[in-house]
Amino acid sequence: MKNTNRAIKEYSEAVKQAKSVYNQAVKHIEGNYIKGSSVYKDAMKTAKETFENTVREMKSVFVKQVEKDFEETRTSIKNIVVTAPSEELLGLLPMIKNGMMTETEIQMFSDKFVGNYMDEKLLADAKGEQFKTIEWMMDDLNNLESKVNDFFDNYKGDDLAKISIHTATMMNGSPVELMNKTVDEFLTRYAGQE
Amino acid sequence: MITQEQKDRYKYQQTESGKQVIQLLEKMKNQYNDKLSIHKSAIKTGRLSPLVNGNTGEVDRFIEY
Repeated sequence: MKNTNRAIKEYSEAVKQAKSVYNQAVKHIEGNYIKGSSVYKDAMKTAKETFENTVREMKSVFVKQVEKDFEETRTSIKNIVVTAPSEELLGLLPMIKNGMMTETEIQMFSDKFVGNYMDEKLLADAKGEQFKTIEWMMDDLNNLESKVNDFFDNYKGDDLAKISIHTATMMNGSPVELMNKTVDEFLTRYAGQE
Repeated sequence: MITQEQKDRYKYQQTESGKQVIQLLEKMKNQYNDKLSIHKSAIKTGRLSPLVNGNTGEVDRFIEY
């Protein structure tokens, strides 16, 4: 998900630069038109609309990159989840459920299935233990994508002092880094499964 | 004198998204020229163009447009 943070950073810089171009136009208008006149007002309106249209176009460039990044992340997670459980585990499950194995035996077998998502999940289920399923990570991903989109909708090139805490947090990269760490740990844990 | 910030900015402007951003900023500048008659030289978009030393082949400095 490193492309998302890069897109946020590059979009912030691009919008700041567009704001700088807009400010230069405003300065020109202020120096050449009579303040308050209809011509002045029209020029200011045109300057602002041009800025907003540019930001809109910039947004479409970077939103596409973010969409692709999130989609690739979901696909990587999905590829792990849709790997079928091993035959070996499926053979053991009835024995565990029927109480034919001791706790020590189950524990010894458990180590063999570490690193296979579906094996770990079914084994935990058979033992009556809780298993952290993929739902929470997909929810977090959806929430983060929504927040990233909010950032793209709301950031208009203002300085840090003038932006909301949510926008500032998104700009410093920590929400995406946190998600990236979680996803990386998940993908690494199950990277070896066939 | 070239700063690290200029080097980084120029490097970014050579990337695909950097080119798209510069294109949009230049379009914005052109629109201000067309609609508000603001001369193009009065607005800087931050686009950098390198001035290469003919003897050394190194970038001497950047011109900002």
